[in-house]
Amino acid sequence: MKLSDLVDQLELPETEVAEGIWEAARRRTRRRRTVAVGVGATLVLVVGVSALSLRGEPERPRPAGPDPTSTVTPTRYAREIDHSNTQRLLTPDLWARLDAVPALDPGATTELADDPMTRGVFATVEGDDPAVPVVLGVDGRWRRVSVPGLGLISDGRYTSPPIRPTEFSPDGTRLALPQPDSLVVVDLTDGSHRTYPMPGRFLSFAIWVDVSHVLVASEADTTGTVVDLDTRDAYPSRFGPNTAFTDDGALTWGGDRLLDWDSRPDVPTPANNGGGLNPYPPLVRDGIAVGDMAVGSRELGSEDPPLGDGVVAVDATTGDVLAYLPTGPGPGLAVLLGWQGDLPVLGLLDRTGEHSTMVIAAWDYRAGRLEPLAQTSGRVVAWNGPLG
Amino acid sequence: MGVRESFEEWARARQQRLVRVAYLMTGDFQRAEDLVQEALIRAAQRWDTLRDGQPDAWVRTVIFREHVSWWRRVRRETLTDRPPEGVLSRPGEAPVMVQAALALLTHKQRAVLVLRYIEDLSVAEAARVLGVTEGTVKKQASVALARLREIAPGLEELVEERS
Repeated sequence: MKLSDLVDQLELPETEVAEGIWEAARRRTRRRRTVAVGVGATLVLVVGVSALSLRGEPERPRPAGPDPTSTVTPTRYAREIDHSNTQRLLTPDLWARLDAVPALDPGATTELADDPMTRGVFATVEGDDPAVPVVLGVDGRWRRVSVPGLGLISDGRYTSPPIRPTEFSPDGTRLALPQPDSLVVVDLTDGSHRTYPMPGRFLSFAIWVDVSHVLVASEADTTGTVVDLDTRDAYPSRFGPNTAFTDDGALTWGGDRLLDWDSRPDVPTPANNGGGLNPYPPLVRDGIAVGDMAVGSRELGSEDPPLGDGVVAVDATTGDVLAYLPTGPGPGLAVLLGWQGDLPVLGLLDRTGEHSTMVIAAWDYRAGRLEPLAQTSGRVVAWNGPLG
Repeated sequence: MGVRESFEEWARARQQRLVRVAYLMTGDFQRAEDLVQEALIRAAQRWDTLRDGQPDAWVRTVIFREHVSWWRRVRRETLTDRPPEGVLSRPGEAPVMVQAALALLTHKQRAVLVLRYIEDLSVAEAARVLGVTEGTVKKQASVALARLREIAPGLEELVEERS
């Protein structure tokens, strides 16, 4: 008996998932066509045109206008990653250069409520209590963020700590923690916290739009909800959890273009197998976007560039690839953490498994260098450096 | 037949199988339906060009890559080392045994097994769907099969490793 024969014997409910798909597809297409490209518009408009109230208030009209979005189009990428901009920097040598960098592993900790900080620079969890963030202050001391009821992120089956690379506010004074049914925002400067109930949402992403708005989303969401931290209102947003927000606008990375290679006549399918943008929040600063990407070989059977995962730095205006840092093959080997000056900061793991430490390094994509900044044994981390 | 009718006929004919395969990969019926729904929406958006190609392969790839994307986000999963007591020892319940055994594998191992041994893809095809090398597929399949045999000895006769 073959395993394939067993598929039809599983006792599962009959599905009607195909019903209404055509209409849903048409609605989505119409929505996307209404999105205007307008980098430079004010972020106030991001919150959308209709309001939902967490406090049960009636809907009220919101200002309408074009979304300040710049969507990176991946069709250029596969053709533009080549010898000249591929940087093979993730080598064992990187782990041999860690003697001079600090190890970001919590030692003695105090409770945040008893010992607040002016700014947080790094967050992770400890193995014995993965639901409690442990935050390193700019003063070099670790605090436990013991918010009552804080739990692991869950989609009902799998769980993970509530740490996301996007959780530090732009000024480093607050944490936005996604929870299964709420958003929790912790003020690091006084240890207080505020809970924004989102019943039934199973949140797993919290991304700062600006100092008073946070975009929240669930794992499978293609769009999110913007929470106004001051008024407690929540507004549907067309931006998903693969979006980064800056003073100049928002940039969405990947989305449903991830798999378009099958329908792209300009790129032969075998030459672009498995390639595409992976939809995570990119890092965006000064017109440069750094994001996650899977890349296929340019020619069938070729290993140059190798099939695998990596990080690309692109000109957000033109879409030109400035540099490609291969990290794979294999997912989860690079985490987009933040910025150190004008250089993107990445968390990097050894794909060979020889080294268990995550290297936190600044990627000088112009010069083709990785500069280690720190190391940690943590796997779920958030960075808001410099360390101080 | 119009474009819409063509899509709906195809989607209705495929939906049960797609959800079942997605379920074996995710172990979660709701998530399986979500994955299939998303893939079907994308297929509908480009059905005019997809209908004359290989829509089954395209949708399957979307489902698996979406799942890959999801597990990359989660990154850290909770697995148990031991199977639920008694589940794998009952005779004559092969589907239950398969479900329970797959649930003890990692996301990647499960995806590789489903692609190779349920969807009957070659190593090269599975590698393309998952966006990994053929070597990774072979290694993951080998590890997954070994683990499957270890945690569910009753499945040995069901699984024949292919080179």
